[in-house]
Amino acid sequence: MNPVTTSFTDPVLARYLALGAVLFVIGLVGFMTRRNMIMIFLSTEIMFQGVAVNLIALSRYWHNADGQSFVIFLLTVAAAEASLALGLVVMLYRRRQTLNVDMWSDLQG
Amino acid sequence: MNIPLNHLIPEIIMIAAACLVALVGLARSDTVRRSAQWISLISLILAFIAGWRLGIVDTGSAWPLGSLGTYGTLLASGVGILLVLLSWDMPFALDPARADKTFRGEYFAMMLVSLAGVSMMAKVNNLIWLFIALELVSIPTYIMVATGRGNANAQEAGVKYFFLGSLAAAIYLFGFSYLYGFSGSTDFSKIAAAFAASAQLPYIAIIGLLMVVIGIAYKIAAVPMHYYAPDVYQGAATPVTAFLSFAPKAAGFIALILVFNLTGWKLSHGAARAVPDLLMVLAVLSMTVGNVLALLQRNIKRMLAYSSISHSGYMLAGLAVGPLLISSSMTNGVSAMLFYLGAYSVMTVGAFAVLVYLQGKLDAAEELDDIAGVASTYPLAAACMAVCMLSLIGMPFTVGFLGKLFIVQAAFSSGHSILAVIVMINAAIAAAYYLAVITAMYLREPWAPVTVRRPGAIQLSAALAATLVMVLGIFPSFLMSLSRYSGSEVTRQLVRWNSPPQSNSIKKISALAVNTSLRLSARIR
Repeated sequence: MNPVTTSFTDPVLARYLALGAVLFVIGLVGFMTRRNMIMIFLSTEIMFQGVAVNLIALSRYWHNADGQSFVIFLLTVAAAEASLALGLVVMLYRRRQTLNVDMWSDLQG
Repeated sequence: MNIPLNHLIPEIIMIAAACLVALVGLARSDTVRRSAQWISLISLILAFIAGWRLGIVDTGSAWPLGSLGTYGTLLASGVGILLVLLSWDMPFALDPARADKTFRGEYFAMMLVSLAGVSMMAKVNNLIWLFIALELVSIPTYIMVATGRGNANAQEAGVKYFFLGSLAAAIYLFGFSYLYGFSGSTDFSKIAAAFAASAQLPYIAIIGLLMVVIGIAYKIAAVPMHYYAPDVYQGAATPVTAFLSFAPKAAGFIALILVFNLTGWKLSHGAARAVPDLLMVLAVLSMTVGNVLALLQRNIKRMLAYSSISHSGYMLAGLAVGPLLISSSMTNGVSAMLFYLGAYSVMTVGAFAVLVYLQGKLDAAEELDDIAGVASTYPLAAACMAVCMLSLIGMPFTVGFLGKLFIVQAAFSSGHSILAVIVMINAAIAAAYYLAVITAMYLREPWAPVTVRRPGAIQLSAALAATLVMVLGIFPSFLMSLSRYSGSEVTRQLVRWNSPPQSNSIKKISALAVNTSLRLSARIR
């Protein structure tokens, strides 16, 4: 087991962490800029996957299964959220026949 | 390390009842369906008793925190009873477009699951658990907002809340992954040991902490992560709004306590300073922005949304002050915050209960005009509302006063006098818009004839909440000892991690703190 004072300079780990961070940022930018609800939801999914990449890489780095089991829980919860998101999207589409978030901004002030 | 199963009895009761309610709520016969609300009420009372019997426990190990767990359970089930009473006729109001008014019991199942999450929150001892508990609180609330009433506003609010909620989840999860990367374990005691062992925190830990704070700031609606709150509060059905002002906020604050407990509350040097600074900035921004924007509102639900933002600011101030080394008394910032959390939950739920009781143009009273002159026709409802509003202002003899007093006291005694002054100025600003509600009820002529909802349960909820506000304001010892012990428990962990103490005087003070909290625990038991 590595000491807790590691500086995370391991080049392989650094690449995976960079990948996780890039995925997270892509998702964040998508969340801010996309107007279609399905695309917004997919952006949050990409952010979750960035977290999953981080966790798996770190799990390998620390040689324990904590991170991997975290990923399994994360995927389960993400699946629950996906089913909820699709239900909500269908409900909204039935009412206004559009999924553009700009059409859904009655509440303001 | 492992949590004894009997600590989870309240959660088991609530989840089992939620499953039962979800089944019963869809039964063919109408009478069976109607038992849903009774089952929820009884299960919450049972959970409260189970939490009470758990008592203030010393688990001996650092995790889980025994009395904070009891506090969470009592808070979730106690306020949960008020919330179930308040949404008694909710299943009929769910879909006003439909004429048949079928009873839909699943609303209560969602509510019970979410309350179980709040109750479980304080007992977790692992990052994975913490994540599961946070999501257990959040996911049912998305459904409650979106389906709580049949109009487009509720659906818009539901989608907004859902998307921002899952964004927040992604952000704090990213923080969790970095905390795991820093410590190599998701177990709280190991993470705490890693924090205690490193003199200079690496950036990965600091970035992780910052992202956790920002993600959870969405749940507690702190500025600048607050912008969804007014829309969601206005769009959701009023009983759901009452729920939103309690559950995510309680869960978020308890989660923040747990996360800071991991760090041993010693983030005062080097780059780690960024974390308490962020808390302080969030606190000041939340109270000021929340209060100023609340002044501009005519819609009471929107106003209460901004008010909830500003109350989050007060509680964040308590958290930013932190537990310190000095005391197991209420000058401990965490104890003050926990007291405020309980006080705020009761008074805001009481205010919403009155709004649900009074029937406005739509389904529940929303605008200031809706409640104009209510005092002449429904004096009791008006009195309940007035008590809750005075408590939200922080008038003496109400529980809100004590909450503010403890926060200010904690800030002063730790040397954060500017923070204390900002809290007091904000309390003065807030008086304006709370008093506007009282003025509308007592001094204005009725705008339109006011009607009320029939179920006695809603009246009971409002009356109970108003009574609690008064009783806890005059005899606060129960809530005080609970929050004080939960706070001093945090302090005790802190003393344990801070070894070796830097100087002799600190050693003496920490010994004093340990002794006092131990003696206190003996007396409470």
